[in-house]
Amino acid sequence: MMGAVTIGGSAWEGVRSSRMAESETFARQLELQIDRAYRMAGLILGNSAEAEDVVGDAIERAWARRAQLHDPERLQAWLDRIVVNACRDRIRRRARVRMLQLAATADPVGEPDAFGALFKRDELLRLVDTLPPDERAVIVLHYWADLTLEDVAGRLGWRTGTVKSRLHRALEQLRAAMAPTDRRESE
Amino acid sequence: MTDDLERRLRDLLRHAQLPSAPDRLYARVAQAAAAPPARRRTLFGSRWLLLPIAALLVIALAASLVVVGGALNPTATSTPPGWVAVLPATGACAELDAVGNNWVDTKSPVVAAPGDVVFVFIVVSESPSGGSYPWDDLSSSDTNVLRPIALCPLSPQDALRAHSLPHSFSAFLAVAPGAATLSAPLSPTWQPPDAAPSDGYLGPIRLEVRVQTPPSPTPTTTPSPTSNATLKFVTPGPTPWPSNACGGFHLKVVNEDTGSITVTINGSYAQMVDGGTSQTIVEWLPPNKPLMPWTVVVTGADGTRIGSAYMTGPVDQKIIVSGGQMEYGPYDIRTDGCG
Repeated sequence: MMGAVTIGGSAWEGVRSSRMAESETFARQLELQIDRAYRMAGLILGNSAEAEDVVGDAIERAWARRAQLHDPERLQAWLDRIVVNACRDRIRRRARVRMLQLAATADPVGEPDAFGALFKRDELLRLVDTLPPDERAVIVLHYWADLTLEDVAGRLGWRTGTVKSRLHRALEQLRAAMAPTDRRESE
Repeated sequence: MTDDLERRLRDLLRHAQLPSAPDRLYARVAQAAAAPPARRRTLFGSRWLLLPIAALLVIALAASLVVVGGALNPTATSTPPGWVAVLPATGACAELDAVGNNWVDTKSPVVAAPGDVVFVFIVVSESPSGGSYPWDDLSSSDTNVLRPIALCPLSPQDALRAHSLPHSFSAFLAVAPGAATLSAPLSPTWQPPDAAPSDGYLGPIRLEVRVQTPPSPTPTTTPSPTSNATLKFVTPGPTPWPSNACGGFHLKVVNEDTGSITVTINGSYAQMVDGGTSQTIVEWLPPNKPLMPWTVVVTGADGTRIGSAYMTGPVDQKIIVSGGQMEYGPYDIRTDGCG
């Protein structure tokens, strides 16, 4: 029979047990944010596999840097920022990676990607899918996460004026893209 | 026009049916929590964290393991750490098969039986100041009870597994019933970092080990999951920590709520536990369970996630679901009996 225990140095019991309790609390709070983080990443990236990848990395990053989070109430904002920045990086990286279209017969029985399907279902969302990463992040944070422009600025590390101009630019782009459709519909 | 566009965007995004995060992401939290801390640098560029140095001791008992029907083939069994010590009687190497994650403070004595090898692994989670190891060698207060024994030389594979953090590793043989204190004073050459708090920083390590003969050893034969060899486990005497005393890993799930809960292990269904009942999931009993470590996820009857846990064994665990919340911790299966 073998047994094994891990014990703390005698001067360290208090330090260790309080750190363990803090870690457990942080883990539970982090778990509560995962669904939101995954959906937000999925909406920004339009792809569930990439969303999982990004949020997985964000979890590890958040865990490694948890000491930097001084106010637990700010966990959601803090994690949002990690996830959104990772999504923007991911989209920018896409531009540098050559994507090859697989043959239509590939993976014929595979499940359609939930986020990808969402963006194909509606003309407006299809247009959102074509926006540059920063504009897309602003749209998701403002309209889906229901954050004020000030809070969006906090998440992205921008000034509020920058958020306003990016949002304006995004809406103009959407409006311009929709104009031919609207015109056809009015005719 | 803008209002209409914004309203449409808001409606489309907020009312979209979005998928829930996969269980794998919850497992990442548990894995991150279970992973050893990475080395960090302070803002001042110091190699050492300004927070106190955390010291860990790993104590492991071995050598009650008796192999029946020939020697174990190390390649056929899972003996990952490869921490070994020379057994004086035979000159053979005693090997530690795994390190538990059960925490016991140093005020609680470790209980061993005569013939056990007590391994002590002291890890400093950050590089200590001054470039020296904080403690002197560990010594026994009564070598008639607990005698230091030599370590086997490291194999090349073990050398590859060498810990990246400062550590010391010693082994003691439990010789005869009695009590002995293992102690390691702070090394006079070691100096705490300048930023260390004056109080509550590293101190000498003291660990009491009680060697006692088990009341009535009850041999039980358990098939090994990884080899054809038959291992004979000797039920140990009372110990201050739970262990997999019944052979293999056990997870007891207690559902104190009224609705049923479902337990999945590594993404596969494992057990449904009705309200007000409990079930014990046994590693080695059919249906086959995944190899450890386990990511255990508990969901309610409506599919809502109640909690998750990362379990590495060998210490048995108990999950308690109550009020829609989940708690888990070490479990001493002997309180219920091996059944």
